[in-house]
Amino acid sequence: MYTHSVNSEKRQDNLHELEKENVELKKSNEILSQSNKFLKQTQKLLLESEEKFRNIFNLSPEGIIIFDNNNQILMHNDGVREIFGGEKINLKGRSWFEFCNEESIKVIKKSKKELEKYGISKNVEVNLKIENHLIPVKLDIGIMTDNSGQPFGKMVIISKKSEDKQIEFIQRAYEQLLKEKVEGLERTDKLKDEFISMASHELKTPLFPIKFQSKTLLDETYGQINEEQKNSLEEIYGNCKKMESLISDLLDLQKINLGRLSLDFQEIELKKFMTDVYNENKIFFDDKGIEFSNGTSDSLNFKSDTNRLKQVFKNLILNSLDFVSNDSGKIQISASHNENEITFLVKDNGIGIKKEDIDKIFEKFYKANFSQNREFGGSGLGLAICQGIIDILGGKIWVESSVGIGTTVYFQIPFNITN
Amino acid sequence: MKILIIEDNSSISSMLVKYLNKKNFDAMDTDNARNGLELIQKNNFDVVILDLNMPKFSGWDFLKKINSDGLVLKSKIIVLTASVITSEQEMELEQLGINLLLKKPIDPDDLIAKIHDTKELK
Repeated sequence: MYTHSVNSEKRQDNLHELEKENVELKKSNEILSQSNKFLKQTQKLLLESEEKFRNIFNLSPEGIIIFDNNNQILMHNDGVREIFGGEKINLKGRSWFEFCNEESIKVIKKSKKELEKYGISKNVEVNLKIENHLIPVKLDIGIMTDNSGQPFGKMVIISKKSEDKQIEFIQRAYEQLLKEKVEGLERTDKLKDEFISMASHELKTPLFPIKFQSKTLLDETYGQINEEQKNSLEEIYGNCKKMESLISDLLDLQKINLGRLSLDFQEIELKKFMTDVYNENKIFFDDKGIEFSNGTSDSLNFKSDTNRLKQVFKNLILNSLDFVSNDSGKIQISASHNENEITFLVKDNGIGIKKEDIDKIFEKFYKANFSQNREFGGSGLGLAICQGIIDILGGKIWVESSVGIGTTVYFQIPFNITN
Repeated sequence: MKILIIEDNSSISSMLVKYLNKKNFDAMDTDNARNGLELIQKNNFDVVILDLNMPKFSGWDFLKKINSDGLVLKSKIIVLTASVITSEQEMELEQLGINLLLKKPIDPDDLIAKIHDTKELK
C-alpha cells in the first residue's frame, strides 16, 4: 500500500506537467494562428500593392524601362511598344546600350552630373537605334535606390519626340497667346464703348441748361424782352443747336471709326421715302429764295437703315445750302434704281468744287472754302459721316462737280428686295 | 399737376422746378433717388421726371426697386436722360414701367407738351 500511494503521487505530478504543457501548447497554437492570419493579410496587401504598381507601370502611355547598374534591362512596361515597335515585345535581359549610338551615349554621359546631383535628369534628347532606324526621343532618367539607399539601377521614361508633338505644343502656345490677345481687345473695346457713353453724357449735361434757359427767356417766360435781348438770346440758342449737332456728329464718327455704328433696317417704299426726306428738309428753305425739289419717279420696295440714309441726305442738303446763292439757288434730291442698287443724289447749282479738292472733301474737318458764315453749322464732319454710313451699308458715295456750275453728290446702296 | 423731379444736377433740377412752377405746375425736386422713393410713397405725384445717371442709387436702381417691391404707382414716370440709350435698354425701360423716354437737351415747350401727353397714357 505504501508503494501504491507513492506511484499515484508520481502520476499526479506527471498529469500536472502534462496539463501545464498542454496549456502552453494551446497558447503557442493561438500565437501561431494569429501570426498566420497576419502573414496572410500582409501577403494580400503586398499582392494588391504589386498589382497597383503593375497597373500604373503598364498603363503609363510612355515607355518605362528599368535597368541595373550593368545596364541590363530588368523590366519594362507595354508603353515601350510605341518606341520599340512590335506587338508583344520583351526587352528583359538585353542591354540598354544596345539601343544607344555613340552620339546618344555622349549626351547621356553629359546628363550624368545632373543625375548624380539630383537623382534625376529630365528632357535628355537622344536618338535611339531601333532596327536600323534612328528614333528621336526624350528621356527622363532617374536613379533607383533600395531600402538602404544604395542605387541598384536606373529608371528611364521614354517619350517620342515627334514633330506632331512639337506642332501640338506650338499650336497650344499660339492658342494661349490668341486667347490673351482677344481678351485684351475685348477689354479695350469695352473701355471705348464706355468712353463714348461717358463723353456723350458729359457734353450734353451742361448744354441742357444753356439751351433750356435761353429758350425760356426767348419765350418771355420770365418777362418781356427787348429786340436786342431777343437777338442775343437767339444767338445763344442757335449756337446750342450747333453744339448739339456737333456732339452728335462726333459721336457718330467715333462709332463709325470703331466699327460700332449700329444699323436698324426697315422696309419702305422708295417714293414714299423720298417724299419723307423732302418734307423733313424743306424747313431749311423757309425764308429763302432757294428752290428745293424732289425728282424721284421710280418706285421700289426696299429694306435699309432709313434713318441713316436720311442722315446722309440732311448732311448733303445742308452742305449744298451753304454753297448756293440765296436768290437763284436750286437744290434737287432724287433716286433711281436698277436690279442691284439704288442710287440717290443731291444736286445743286452752287459754286462747285475744284477738281483737286474733290478727293479731300470727305476727310474729317475739311471745309472746302473755310466760310465762317455757315448758317446751319456743319462741323466739317458731315461728309466723313456720310462716307462712313454708306460704307457700312455696303455702298459707295462720289461727287461730280464743276466750278461755277454746280455739284452733284451721288450715293448708291445695294438693296434687299421686299415684295 | 404735381410733379417730382429726381435729378442730381442742381443746375438742371432748380431750372426745371422754377420753370414748371412758373407754368402753373406744382413741382418739387430731390437730388437722390432713395429719397425719391420715400417721397412718392408719401405724396401723390402725377408725374415723376427721372434722371438715369445718378451716383450711388441710379434711375435704373430706382425703377428696379419699384418693381421688386411691387409698388403700385399712380404717377406717370418720364425718364429724362443725357445717356445714350440702346434699343435693348429702351425695351428694358418699358418693361420696368416707364411711360415716356425723353433725351436731354429738351426745349421748354416740348417738355410741357410731353408732360401733358402722359395724361392720356396708362
